[in-house]
Amino acid sequence: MIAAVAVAETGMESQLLIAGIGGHTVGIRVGQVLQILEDRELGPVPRAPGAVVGVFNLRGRVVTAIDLRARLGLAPVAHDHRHTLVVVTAGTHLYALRVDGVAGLTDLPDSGMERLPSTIAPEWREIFLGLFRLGEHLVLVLDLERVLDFGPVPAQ
Amino acid sequence: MDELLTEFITETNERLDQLDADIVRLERDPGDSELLFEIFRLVHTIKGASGFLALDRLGRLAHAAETVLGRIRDGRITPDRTSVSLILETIDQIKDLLTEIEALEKEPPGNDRDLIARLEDFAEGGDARQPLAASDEGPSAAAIELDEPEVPLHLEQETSGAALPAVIPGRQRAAEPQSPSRASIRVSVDLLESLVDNVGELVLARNQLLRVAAEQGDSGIEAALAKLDTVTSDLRDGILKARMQPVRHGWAKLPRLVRDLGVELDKSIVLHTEGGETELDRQLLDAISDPLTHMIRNAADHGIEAPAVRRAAGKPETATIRLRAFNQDGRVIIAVADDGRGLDLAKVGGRAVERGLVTRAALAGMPPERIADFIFAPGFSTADAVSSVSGRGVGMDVVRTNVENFGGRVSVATSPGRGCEFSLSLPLTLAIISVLIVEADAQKFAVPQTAIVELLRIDHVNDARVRTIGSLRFLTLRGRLVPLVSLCGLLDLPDEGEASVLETVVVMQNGHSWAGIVVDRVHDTEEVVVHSTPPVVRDIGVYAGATILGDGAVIMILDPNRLVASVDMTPDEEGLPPVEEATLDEVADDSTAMLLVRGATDVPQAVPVPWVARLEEIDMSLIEEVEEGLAVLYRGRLLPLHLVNAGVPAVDGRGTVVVLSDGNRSSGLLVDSVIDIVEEPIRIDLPATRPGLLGRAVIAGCATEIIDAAHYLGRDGGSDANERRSEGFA
Repeated sequence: MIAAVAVAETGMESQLLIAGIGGHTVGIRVGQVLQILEDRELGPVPRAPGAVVGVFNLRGRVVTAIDLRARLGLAPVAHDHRHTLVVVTAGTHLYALRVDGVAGLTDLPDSGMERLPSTIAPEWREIFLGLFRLGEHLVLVLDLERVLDFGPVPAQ
Repeated sequence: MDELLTEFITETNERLDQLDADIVRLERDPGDSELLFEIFRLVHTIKGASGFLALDRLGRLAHAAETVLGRIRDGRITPDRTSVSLILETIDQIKDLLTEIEALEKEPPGNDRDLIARLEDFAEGGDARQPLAASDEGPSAAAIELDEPEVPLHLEQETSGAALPAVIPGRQRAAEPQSPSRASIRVSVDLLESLVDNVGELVLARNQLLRVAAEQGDSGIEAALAKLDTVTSDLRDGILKARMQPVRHGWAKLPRLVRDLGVELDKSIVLHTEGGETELDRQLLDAISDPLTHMIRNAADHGIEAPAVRRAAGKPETATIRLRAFNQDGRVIIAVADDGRGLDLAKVGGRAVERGLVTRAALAGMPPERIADFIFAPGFSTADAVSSVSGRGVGMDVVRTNVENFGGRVSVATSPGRGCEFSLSLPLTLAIISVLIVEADAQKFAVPQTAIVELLRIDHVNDARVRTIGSLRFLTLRGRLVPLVSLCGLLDLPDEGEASVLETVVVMQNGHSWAGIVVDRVHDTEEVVVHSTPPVVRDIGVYAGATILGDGAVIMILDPNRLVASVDMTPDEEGLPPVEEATLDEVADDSTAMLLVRGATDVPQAVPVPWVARLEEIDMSLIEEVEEGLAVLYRGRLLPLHLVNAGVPAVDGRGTVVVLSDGNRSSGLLVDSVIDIVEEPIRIDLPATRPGLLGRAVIAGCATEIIDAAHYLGRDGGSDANERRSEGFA
């Protein structure tokens, strides 16, 4: 995994995991991706920000699940939808990004990454690094650090 | 890399840390010949191993250092500041070389001719030197705890400068007699981590088996499973214990650090350590290394005064930094205290205003603790001059961020002229703790047992112990009024607990504060592994971590400290009934609920409950003297405080304040304790003898003074002292 990151960076090429969220196509750099899981039952975390949908156990480690739709301010998906969980590591913690589904991996040269159009919402601008054109799809590249940074939680 | 070389680098690095500490100790206690021998032996071992692995530069350096040490051993050189600095410099050079060797997998080109020449010169001429005064101070070296040396890789070859060609197995460790530490071996952290994960999986598999077996009722399987059950539990406990280390393992470098800081800053500083045996998770031990170093640097640079200043202040010239570790409330506390000048709160406050962190007006009403807390603000520094040691303004905020990242907390206490103490409060992350599993809104939560005072079942309608003030409920328990709140309420969960008359209350403790948390149900007590949670969950402020139950489900562990603290502050203003003007007649009229309190005297006092807004526990040190009496910062405003009896409040500790309010004005009565709430007809027997009292009555069989709340709210005689006060500080 570490070797893959090194190649991706020195070769100026990003290997992206392509995921779908509410009609949008999002790319997640594979460097930090640990595993892709099917939807599963989550333990609740009352009083957490809305996008924190719960916690679960992955081989003896605690993973915090973040709903990417909620994080991006999109409407929730139909109740019976089977989500996909993309487990990522950040620092010493494990997170799972809950997405509608994943489509696969793709290699895209960093030089092909375009800046976000100015029409994009400011909240999204914070969370995405840029975009790629892949066929007729626009792939928004996720800034993992920013997605997982909820800022200070207001004191209750 | 060559396995032998890897092992050599790891072991040598550890040995060097040991050397740092030993040599600093020797400087202070030059007569300790045993210690000297130990140091000599360590250097000799490094020299031997270097020769063995054909590490020529390393060998030469160690040889030169050994020569100087030999002279010290022979009594021809005194281990003073000069000689010790030279040896420490050599050790640093050896460390640098090791780092390069690790990267290059061979010795880097170049030589250390200068350093070796200086060592040789010193060894030759050193016997003429006079010992420096520094070595005579001799504070107790026994206060410093040091690691047992690791099993030495003892090689007897002398370095000839040339590579020794062949490895002779068996020769490596043969020369050294068996030492007790031989009983331990080195295990890679990764291996240990994977064992922990695997054991976790094993525990889950066992639990599944237990359930299946229970359903099928096969006694043969059950017997075998019972055995498996025991073994699995033991295995889990053992593996988790293997991760724990005495904190002194993380402290080995500190004596050297303090010594070097002393030299660099021209201050005389000794380090005292206590509680080095306190065990902490290995990961945490690594994680606090940098914050700890930073705190010690700060203490040496900013906290401790120059020797002349200390002398003038009547303090011993040699300053002391005390490092302590101990267990408290299921956490590990590591505290760094210095006996220096303490924080200059006026200066800290001034900087905070300059940096726009607080307005000058708000600062005036701030208790010292909160002012001191500004030193943790990003980029905050009060240092007049930027020194090479610290004071670049990247400091305590980084410490706080780092510490909070792994679920710890950092705080500071200061006493002007006497020093200041930084405390790290660390969770026993990944350690096992005993918890009670409770349920609220059909969800399970874990409560650390250490915080639980008792479990109660109460009939919330008829139980005589339940009292109500406004919409707040209290429980009288062991002579205290304990606020009652539901866990559902605290966690914003739908509360449908009205169905049952009986409530289950978990009474929790945070220091002196108690709170009764009403839960829907309690389950078993379990030993669980604490997992740390990411910032987004930690910042909610009610969880101490998460844990995985036997069935694989993850539940949250409540943080009793913060939970109880939040109960104290739960606002309830909407629930307050409108307060009528209470008069002597009304009070005397018929049955009125009275809050019975005790002040400095033995005579109990009664406050009519309609005036009571809240009961608060406050930190007595936060009480300030203002122009017209005492006051405390309460919900962002200065609350005037009154002593009902002429008594002087204790300066520290916690006190109880009855907060009176008429909806506009608030005022606080400082009392020793709250006894009870009674509701009975009251007849004033004796008229008031002094302002502030309505008179005396017999309540619950005792002569009791009835307090005139209106007086303390400034409603009688047109006194608007309180209003003026609020304006002055708002």
